[in-house]
Amino acid sequence: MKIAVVLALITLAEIAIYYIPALASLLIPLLVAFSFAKFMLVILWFMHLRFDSRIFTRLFAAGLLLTLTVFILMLLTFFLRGGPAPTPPGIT
Amino acid sequence: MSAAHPPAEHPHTSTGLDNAKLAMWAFLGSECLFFGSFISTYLLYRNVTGDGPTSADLYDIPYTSISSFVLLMSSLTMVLALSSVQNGDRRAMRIWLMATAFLGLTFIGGQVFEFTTFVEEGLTLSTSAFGSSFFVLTGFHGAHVTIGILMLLGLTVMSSFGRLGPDDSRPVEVVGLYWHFVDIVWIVIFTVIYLIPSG
Repeated sequence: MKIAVVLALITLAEIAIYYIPALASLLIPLLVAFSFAKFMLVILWFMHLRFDSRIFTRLFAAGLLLTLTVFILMLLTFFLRGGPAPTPPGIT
Repeated sequence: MSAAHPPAEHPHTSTGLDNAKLAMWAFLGSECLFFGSFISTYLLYRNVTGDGPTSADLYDIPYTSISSFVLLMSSLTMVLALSSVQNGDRRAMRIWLMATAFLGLTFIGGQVFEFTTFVEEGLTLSTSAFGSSFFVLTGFHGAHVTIGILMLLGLTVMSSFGRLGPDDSRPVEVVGLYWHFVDIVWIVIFTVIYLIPSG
């Protein structure tokens, strides 16, 4: 129950900082940090990774690591290329 | 909260681990790549709106926040369902499974309403690259939630007809893993797609 309360509070904080103009410059780092905290709380406690076999953690971490690699490489490719991403024919 | 419960018994395997759980974790690892690709595509195209509406014109943060909160709380009811079956209280398990399915249905209802509003405001799957990437990402997530709801209802029906053994919490645990994963994907989508403003 404590974890659920913490998750609810983090969600409330996320929404609150979205509406505070003074925090505009810190918005993205704060939101990413809050999102990461919620992600970790759910997988470690609700999905029992903290208490279960390390093999499950490694399986999931492998998928996550591959995802982050593809994610960063894909965004970096378009960033280095410069300009907007090309759109398929027929799509504006 | 469920840390106090011992892991459910499972048949002997060569790894010493429950094969169903192992398969579910491998599946969830692959699902990370599935959703990661859609999220990075959305980030590339979120400003390619053509003549259609932009995200700033459409997104209703308070409304989506409530939907997100509903899905987050469904993870709590799922934990309570697993805790109930591990404590041998099958009636409570069925109630919590139904509560989880109900919260999931509420989330899906909210998503259908949101999609309908967006279409009325001029954003469809083919309006712009932004529209395509948004609907594909959130639509696939909605499809995952719908599959999760069907699994939850299936477990409830199986339990009602005595098809779940008295000490068999494994199916509930495996479906719970899938449900929590759907929740963490939404945690990322809500932050990256809705809260972080497009440049």
